[in-house]
Amino acid sequence: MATKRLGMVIDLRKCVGCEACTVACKAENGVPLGHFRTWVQKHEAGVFPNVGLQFVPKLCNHCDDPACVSVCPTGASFKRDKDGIVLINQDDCIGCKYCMVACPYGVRYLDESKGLVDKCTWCAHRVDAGIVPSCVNTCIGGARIFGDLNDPTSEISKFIATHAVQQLKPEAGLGPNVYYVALDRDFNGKLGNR
Amino acid sequence: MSHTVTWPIWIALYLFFAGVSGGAFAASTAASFLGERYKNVARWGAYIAPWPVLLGTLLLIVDLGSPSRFWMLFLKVNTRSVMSMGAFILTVFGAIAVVYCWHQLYLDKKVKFTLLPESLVKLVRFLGIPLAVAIGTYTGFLLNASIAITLWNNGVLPLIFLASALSTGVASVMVAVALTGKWDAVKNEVKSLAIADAALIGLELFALAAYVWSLHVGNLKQQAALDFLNAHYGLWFWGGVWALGLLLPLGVKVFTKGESAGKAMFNGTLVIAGGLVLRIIIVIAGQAATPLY
Repeated sequence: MATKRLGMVIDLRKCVGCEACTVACKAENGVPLGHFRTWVQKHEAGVFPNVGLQFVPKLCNHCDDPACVSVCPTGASFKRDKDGIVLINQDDCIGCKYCMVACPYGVRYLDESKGLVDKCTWCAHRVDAGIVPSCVNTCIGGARIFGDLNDPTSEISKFIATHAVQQLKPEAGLGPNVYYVALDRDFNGKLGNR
Repeated sequence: MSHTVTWPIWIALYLFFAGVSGGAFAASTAASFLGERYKNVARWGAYIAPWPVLLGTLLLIVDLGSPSRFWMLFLKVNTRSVMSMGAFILTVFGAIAVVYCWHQLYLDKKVKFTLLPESLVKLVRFLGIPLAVAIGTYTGFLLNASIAITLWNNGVLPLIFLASALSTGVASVMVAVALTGKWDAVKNEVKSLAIADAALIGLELFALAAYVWSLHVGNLKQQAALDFLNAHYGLWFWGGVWALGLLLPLGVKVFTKGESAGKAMFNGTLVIAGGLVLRIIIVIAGQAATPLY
């Protein structure tokens, strides 16, 4: 059986910045106060007078070659063989935060109550039960598409085949698996290190 | 979302302390090959070497989210992780530095037995410089591996940290020797240490110049990171590290005649302080320059 390579498309034309995904994720995963596994970043786009506010939902990119997995000294951060979800084995994590300084997307946080690093799991517990992640499920505009990039007949593969999509920081060379539609061309520049 | 500093100042202190230990150990073992003439260097290097790195390691462990589970580092290995490799380098080095310090106490007849068999003493002395190089460069590679942080992900960083490690280690031995011996008895040793330190300062200046130049001619991110460094930490970087920590002690060494205990302590203290400020700036400015939203 061919292995899956899960991915997500976020169609920014359908995102209104309502943060329903942010809330659904926190409720689904019991994310501690002050931390987020997904959130909506607001970004001013365009040049006067043609300006607007762009909403860019952020989450773990579940990269092909994740920096967090490379640097993890105990191998606690790992990429799941069967579908490519990047997870943290809580028995092995010591909270050294090396992954947090290595991730160019800034999607990890230290859960102070547990002394462990945590992040988006793409709701692996839901995926294993055959349903989509909570953020995908709740999105009011249907902006998020989730599925198997290795399956050419999946909704996400067909969407990517027929739409122009962008990734965040492709130059980091990690192979991020979250794709965006209609990402402002200035956005990646503003993501860069200052 | 915010400009979070994930690795706090304790990590910078650790990088500095590990370097001082490595440099002091290298100075001690190298001097031990030169015989009686350098016995104070060999002695004080051995006495100093274990303590900074042990203190630094304690800081590292305390900074963990789960300090009580640090031993996982030794149960699981990831060859792609500099930290995983570093844990083993650090353990080997720390253990050898402690045993070697004890052996020096034995040679000085302060303790009645040694933990180091005579047949292994020479091996440890041969390992001194390689171990110091491993410790010094690994602290640079540790930061270098973070592709997210432009001021860290720079190939020259391990060389800067190596030069600073050796230089601060030698300086700490120089200060200790100058402080503790009668001047006439130690002046030749202090003079040799001052020359060695001047050469190491030269190496560090070269490495730092290459670092700044690589950012200056680099891509947009690198230029922006250098601008950030100059704007927010410029006074500390150029005034503290470059001027007070490197150029002033080098100038005093080169342009003033004669050696004195006061001069050795003045220069040594400046070099040590400069090495500390360097680590703090690289660790903190690197993260502050990286918005983590």
